[in-house]
Amino acid sequence: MIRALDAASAAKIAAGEVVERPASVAKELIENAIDAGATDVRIEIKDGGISLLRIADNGGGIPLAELPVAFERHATSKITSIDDLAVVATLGFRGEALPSIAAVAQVTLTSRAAGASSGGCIRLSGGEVLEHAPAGCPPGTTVSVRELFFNTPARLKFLKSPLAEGGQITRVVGHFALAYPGIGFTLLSDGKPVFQSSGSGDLLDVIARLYGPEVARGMLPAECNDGLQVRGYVSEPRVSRSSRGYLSLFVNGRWIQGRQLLHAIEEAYASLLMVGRHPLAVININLDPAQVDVNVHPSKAEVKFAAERLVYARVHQAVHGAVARYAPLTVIGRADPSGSAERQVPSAEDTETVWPTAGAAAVGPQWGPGFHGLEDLGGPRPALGTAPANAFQALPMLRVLGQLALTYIIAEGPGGMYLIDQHAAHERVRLDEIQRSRANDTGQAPDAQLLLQPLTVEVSPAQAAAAEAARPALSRLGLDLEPFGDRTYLLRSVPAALPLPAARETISAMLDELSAESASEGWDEAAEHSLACHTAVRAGQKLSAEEMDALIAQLERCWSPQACAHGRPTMVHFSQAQLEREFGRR
Amino acid sequence: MKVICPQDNLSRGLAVVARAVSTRSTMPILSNVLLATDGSRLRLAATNLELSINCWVEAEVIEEGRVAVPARLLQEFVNSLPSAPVQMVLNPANRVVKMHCLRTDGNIRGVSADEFPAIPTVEDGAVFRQPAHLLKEMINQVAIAAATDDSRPIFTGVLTTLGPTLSMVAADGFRLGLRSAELEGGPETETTLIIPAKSLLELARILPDGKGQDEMVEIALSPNKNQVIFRTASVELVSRLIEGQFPNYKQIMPKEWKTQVIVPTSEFLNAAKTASFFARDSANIVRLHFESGEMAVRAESTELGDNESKIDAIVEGEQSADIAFNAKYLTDALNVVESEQIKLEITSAGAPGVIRPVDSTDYVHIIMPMATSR
Ligand SMILES: Nc1ncnc2c1ncn2[C@@H]1O[C@H](COP(=O)(O)OP(=O)(O)OP(=O)(O)O)[C@@H](O)[C@H]1O
Ligand SMILES: [Mg+2]
Repeated sequence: MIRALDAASAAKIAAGEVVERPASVAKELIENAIDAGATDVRIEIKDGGISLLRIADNGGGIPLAELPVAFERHATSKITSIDDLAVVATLGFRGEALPSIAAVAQVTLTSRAAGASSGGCIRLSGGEVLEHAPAGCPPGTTVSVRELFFNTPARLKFLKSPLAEGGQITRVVGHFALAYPGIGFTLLSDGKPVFQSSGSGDLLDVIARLYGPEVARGMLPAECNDGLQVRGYVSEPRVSRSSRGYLSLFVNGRWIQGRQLLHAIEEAYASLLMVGRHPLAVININLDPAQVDVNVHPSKAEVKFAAERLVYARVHQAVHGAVARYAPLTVIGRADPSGSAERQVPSAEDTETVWPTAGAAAVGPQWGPGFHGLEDLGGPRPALGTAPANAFQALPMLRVLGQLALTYIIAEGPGGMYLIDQHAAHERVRLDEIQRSRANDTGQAPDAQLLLQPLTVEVSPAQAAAAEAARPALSRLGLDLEPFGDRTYLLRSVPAALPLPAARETISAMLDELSAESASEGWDEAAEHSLACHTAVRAGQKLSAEEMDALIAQLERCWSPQACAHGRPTMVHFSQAQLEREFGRR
Repeated sequence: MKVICPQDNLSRGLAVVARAVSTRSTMPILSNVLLATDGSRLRLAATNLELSINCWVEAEVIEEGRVAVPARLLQEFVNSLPSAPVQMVLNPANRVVKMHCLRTDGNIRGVSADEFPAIPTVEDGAVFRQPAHLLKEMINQVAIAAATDDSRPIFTGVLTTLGPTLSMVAADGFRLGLRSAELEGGPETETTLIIPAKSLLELARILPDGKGQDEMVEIALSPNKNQVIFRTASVELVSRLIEGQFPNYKQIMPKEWKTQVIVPTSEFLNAAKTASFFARDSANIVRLHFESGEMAVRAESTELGDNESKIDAIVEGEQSADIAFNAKYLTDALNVVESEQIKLEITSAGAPGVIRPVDSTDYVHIIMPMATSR
C-alpha cells in the first residue's frame, strides 16, 4: 500500500537533491527494482542516459490504481512513520525518488503487479500526469526516463559529455552488481552491451565480470563475524590500482562512500602497497538496521553508525586477516636453539609469504643529513617567488641538496634556493619525451618499441567507452591497443621513450582518468598528459641523490622546464635576498 | 670460538657473502654475517631470505663456536687490517668477538647465532655438475634479458631446464636470451625452475672465469623443491625460486628469415656504442641499413646531430633491408655473444631480429625492433 506520510514525518526526512545527473536517476530506479524483489534488472541508456534511461525489472510491480500515488511526494510503501526509519530494511524510504525524477523529465512507467492479470501505464511530463490507463505488459516494472532536465536548462548545462555520464552510470550499475551478486544486471549503452552480471550469487563471478578474470584470480576472501558481519574480497598486495575507485563499500546492501572505512581497508595493508597505490576491495557490512542511520545524506552515500569504532575495527580486522600473510618478513625460521644443526628454513610457506618488493622502492643511497621527513619549514614563511611558466625559459644550473617531505627536491642555484616538485618536474620531462616520439600532424607514425609478445589488457565496463574513444589517440602515442573481443585488448607496442614496465596498471590508471574527464581538451592532449602523469615519480617516493641529479639534468633539457604538464609550476624560488631578509642579515 | 685466519682469505670471503647481506630495517638480524667454525674451516654466511651465501675460508680452528656479527662493520674492519693472520675470539658470555691482527685490536659486539635464519643445505637428492666458467658464461648471456622491475615477477627470473642439456631462458617483454649446453649427469626427464636473475648474476660474480680452470659447480634442489643450490669447493649459494608459469617462449622464436647478415662482433658493438651517444635524446633508436654487402649503423637526434658507421657484411637473402633497435638492447646482446662474428637474421622492420654466434647454435638472442617512420 502506498500512502502519504504524515506531515511531521515528511518534514523530518532529509529532502534535497535526489536527481543530480543521469547516474543518480539510475541509482534511484535500480533501488526501487531491488526493493521490489527483482532478480533481473535491465538498464538501457542512450547518450549517457541523457536522452533515454530505461530500467526494467521482474519485481513485484505496482497495482494500476496506485500508479499516480507512487509519483506523489513522500508517498512510499516502505515505511509508515518516522519511527520505522530506525529499522528500515529497504533501500528506499523517503517516497521522494519518483516524484523528483518526474519533475525534471518525461517519464513513462508500466507495471504489472504480482498476481494481476494485466498491468497499467502512467505517463508524466515535468511532473504533470498526462496519461494513466490499463496496459498489457509482462510482470514487473519498466520505467523510461526521457529528456532529463528538459525543463531545467541550467542543470542540463552542468552535465558532462555523454561518455562521462555513461561512465558514471556504469559505475553505479557495477556497485549494485557487487552488492547483489544474486541479481542479474544487464547494461546496454546505445544498443551495445556494456556489462552483464549472471545473478549466480557468486561475488567473485561479478568481480571477474567487472574487473577481469586476472584481477578476480588475485582476490582474497575477507571475513569477520563479531558483533556485525563483514564479508567480501580484497586484492593481494601485488594487485593494486593508482586510485581509490576500486574500493567498494556496502552497508546492508547500500553503496556508501565511507571515507573512514576506506581508510580502515587501506590501513590494513599498512606498508604492503607502494606510495600512491591502492588495493581493490569489495566489502559488505551487514548489521542491525537500528545500528545505522542512512538518513544523513540526500543521496544516502554517507551513513552514520551507532558504534563507529566497532565497525572500523571489524573492517580492519577482516582485511588484515586476509592480507596479513603477505606482511613482509614477519615470520621467519630460526635456527634450532638446542644445537648447531640448522633447520630447513625458510620453508615453503615462509618464502612464499615473503613479499618480494616490500620496502625495495625505499632503498637507495642515503644522502646528506637532516632533510628527511621535514614536513614544514617552520617559522614565518618568506613570500614565495613562483617562477613564471614561461616557455623557453632556461633553468639555472642547480645543485641538489636533498629531498623534503619525500615530495620536493631542494636545490641551490646562483639565484638562491629552489624547491622542485618532484612529480610535476618529472611529469614535465615525461611529456617532452612523449611529445618527441609521438605521431605528429605531418602524418608521421609514432616511434614505438614493439613487444615480444602482445600483452592482454582487460578493461572494466566503466573504462570500456573511454578505451574505445581514446584508442586512436593512444596509438598515436605509440600505445598500440588492438581489440581482442569482450573488453580485452592486445597491447602490441609501447611509446619508444617509455619502457612502461607496468603497462597494464598504467593503462588502467589512464583509462580511469580519461573516462572521468569530459573530453574537452581533445583525446590526444588528454592521453598525452595522462601518460606523462602516470609514468612520473609520485610525491612520497624516496629518491636517491643520483635519481634527483638525473631528474634535474633532464629537466634542464626540457622545452619549458618551469611549468608542469598542467601548467602548474614545477619549482618555487627563494632568492638570496629573501633568505637574507628572513634571517635578519639585511 | 677461537680461530686464526689470514686477513686476505677473510676479506675475500666477506666480499663473497656481503652481497647477500640484507639492508632491510624490518629484520635487523639479516644485516649480520654468521661466523661458524666447520671442521678446519670458518664458515661465513649471509642471507636476505631470497638469496643466501655460505663461504668457507681456511682457518686454524682452536676452539669451536658460532656467532653473528654486524656484516658491514666486520667487513670494513677486516679490509683495513694489514695482510697478516687475524685472530678472532668469541666471549660467549657477552657475545663480543675480540679481533687481533699484528698491532691492531678490535671488539665487535655480536648477537646469538641462534637468531640467525637457517640456510638450507642439500644432503641427498640429485646433483648435477657443470664447469664453472661455462655456467658463468651462460648466466651472463641470458640474465641481461631478464626484467629488472617487479611489475611482472615471472620475467625477473631465468627459466632453467635441467635435463640432458641445461638450458636457460630469460625475457623482459622486449628481448629474449636463450642458451643451452650439455649437462653432466643430466636426467632424462626434465625439471624446470625459474631462478631469479639477480641470484644468478651474484653466482656469476662469484664463479671464476677463464676456460683453463676445471672447477665444477654442483647444482641441486632443496628437498622441498623451492630453492636451488649452487655449490663450489668453497661457496654455496642458495636462491629462492620464482613460482608461476613462464610464457611459452618457443612460439616467439622466428622460424625463418629474409635477410641474414654476418658481421664482426666487435665492429658492430663499437658502431652501436657510437650510435647510442647520438640516440640518447631520441628514445635510444639505432637504425640499421643493409645494402650491397654493407651494414650502416645510424642514429640521429634533432637537437644534437647524427652519425653513421659502415661495416663490411656478408648479406644473404634480400640484400636491402632496414630495421631499428633500442641501442641498449643491441649493445647488451653484442657484449655477451662471445663469438668473433655474429649472424643477424631479420624478416621485416616489425618482426623480431635474431642474433646468433656464427659458429654455434647454442645461443640465441632475440630483440624486438622499434617502429619508427622518421
Ligand atoms: N520498480 C518498482 N517496483 C515496484 N514498486 C515500485 C517500483 N518503483 C517504485 N515503486 C513503488 O513506488 C513507491 C515510490 O517510489 P520512490 O522511489 O519514489 O520512493 P521510495 O522508494 O519509497 O523511497 P525513496 O525516495 O527513498 O526511493 C515505492 O515505495 C514503491 O512502492
Ligand atoms: Mg525509491
